[in-house]
Amino acid sequence: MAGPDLASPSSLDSFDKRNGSTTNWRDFPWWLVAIFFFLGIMAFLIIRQPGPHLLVRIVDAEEADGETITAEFDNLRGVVREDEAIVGAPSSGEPFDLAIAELPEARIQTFAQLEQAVQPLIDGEIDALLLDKQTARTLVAENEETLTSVLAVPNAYNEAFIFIFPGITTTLYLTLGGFGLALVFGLLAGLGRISQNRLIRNIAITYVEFIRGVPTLVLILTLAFVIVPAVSDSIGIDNRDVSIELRAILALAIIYGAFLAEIFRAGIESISKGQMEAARSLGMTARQAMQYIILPQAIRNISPALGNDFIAMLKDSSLASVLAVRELTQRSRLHAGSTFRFPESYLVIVFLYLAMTITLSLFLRWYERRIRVGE
Amino acid sequence: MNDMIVIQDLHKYFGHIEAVKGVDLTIRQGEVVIIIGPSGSGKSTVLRCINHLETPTSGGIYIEGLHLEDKKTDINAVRAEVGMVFQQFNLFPHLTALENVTIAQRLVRKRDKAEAERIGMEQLARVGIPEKAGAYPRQLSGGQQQRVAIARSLAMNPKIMLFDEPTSALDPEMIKEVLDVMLDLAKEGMTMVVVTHEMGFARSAADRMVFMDGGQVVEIASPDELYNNPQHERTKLFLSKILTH
Repeated sequence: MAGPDLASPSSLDSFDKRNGSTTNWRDFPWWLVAIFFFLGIMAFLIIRQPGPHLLVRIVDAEEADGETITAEFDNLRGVVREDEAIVGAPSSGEPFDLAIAELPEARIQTFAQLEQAVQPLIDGEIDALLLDKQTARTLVAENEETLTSVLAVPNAYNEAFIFIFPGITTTLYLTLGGFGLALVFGLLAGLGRISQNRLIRNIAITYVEFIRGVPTLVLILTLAFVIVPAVSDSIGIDNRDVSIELRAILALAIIYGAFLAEIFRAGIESISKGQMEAARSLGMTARQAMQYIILPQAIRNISPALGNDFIAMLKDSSLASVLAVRELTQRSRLHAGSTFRFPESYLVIVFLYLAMTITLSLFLRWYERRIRVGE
Repeated sequence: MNDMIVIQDLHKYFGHIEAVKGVDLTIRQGEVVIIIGPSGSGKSTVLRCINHLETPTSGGIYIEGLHLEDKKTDINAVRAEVGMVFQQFNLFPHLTALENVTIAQRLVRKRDKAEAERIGMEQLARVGIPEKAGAYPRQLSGGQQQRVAIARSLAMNPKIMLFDEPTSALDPEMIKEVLDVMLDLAKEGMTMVVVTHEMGFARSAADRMVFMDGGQVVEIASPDELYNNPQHERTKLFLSKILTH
């Protein structure tokens, strides 16, 4: 009976070691590296320092309260806003081609020398002077009447981010409000689904199946523009008093309530019948048993699924943009529409949504592992 | 002695199958009645009908004269007086041993937290595991879990205790610790109805034994009579099978 002794400690040891080291690399989360690489690049593009400033000549300083100034180059007439950027098109229709001089730093020692160097700009010999922000500020302060400064290379990602980012409060408000309400609707409909009462059970099933059968976007439009006006009319509220944000929250809650109902039902049904029997045999009412015995266990079991739906709702809150709610997506659409900077506008929200969802889903993985260990 | 439980012509159908075919049984206060019989004989169903976990198809069950099928009877109030211990323990896994023992006291008996915990600790001490008060069910052995389950029922100060094969899911070395608790309870005069296969326990604890087969009561006798002088062929056959090893 000669043969390899598979069960010998040494052969098992070496197998374990070999297996251990390869498993480590095979399970390495490269996908996470890739996602964080993208997030890192986007963060860099957004926070990257803008380029040098252009010092330009003012032709018309009498625009609205000093914030908007018309500056002129030989072949470009544009409006400069708050020292930030040139908005406008070349007057001659030619491409942006300026006579730009760079300030020779080494030569400049005193203010007098600096003013000397700026003289060609004031005289119109050159169109613009490229220099750092601090010097540009100083010179503009010295020659308020004739000069202003703009960013030579504005950071379009940063601009898009600054315009879009405030929408995050609305996005979070929609998601948290919508999900909170959806939990209530979902719990009620989930309990209704398993109710002994035939009427309640059928109402709950109708709600769930109705919502599941219609596209989310169509439901949002219908709820906001058909159901809310109809309901507010019938209870005597002016439909215009119901804010568009509230309509979006109600729509998201009603839609997600139907999905959560199925999760709650599955969670309750996953608890063994013996739990209800034990609770009832101690004299608890059906309601007490559900509230104190069944639901706490069910909710613990379904919490990962609830977390997934929270993430899904965070993403679906973007659909509220069709109601013109100024959340992240709507703001980026507005920004893209007014600046034509499509990549910047949309990549910024890709970055923001992904940063939020990946954080949540990593937290969820950790939490799921923790409760599984606890069992 | 007073009649605690009266079962009259109990029938129970599951779908088309008649699990219990007309059982009559009267259990007096302080009496320990042990129901034995082959699986599928309807003994667990009878037990579960006593606290209405199963609703009888026909027939009547009276607990201390209260008719359970009467719509006016508050079934939750009756259940609070009837403790039940299950084969699978059915402890609440999200609660500690002490919380398992106190939750129904607080919700049903409306005791305050301090009193519920005092009584809960008394009962945990009575079943011999006061040191496990803070443990969760998954941290306890099967025998310990079943003893917590017994304490949970006793903390309600029930007048009747029902046991549905309380040791069937236990490892052999844990059976004794549970049976000892039940034996003490029997000696203290608790009215008990026990479905079990533990013949040694039955002999020392039972006042009367009920042998059921095919949904009917075949024979009711004292343990000595039943073991030594069974009257029916079916009883003899059953006992010969389970007592020989």
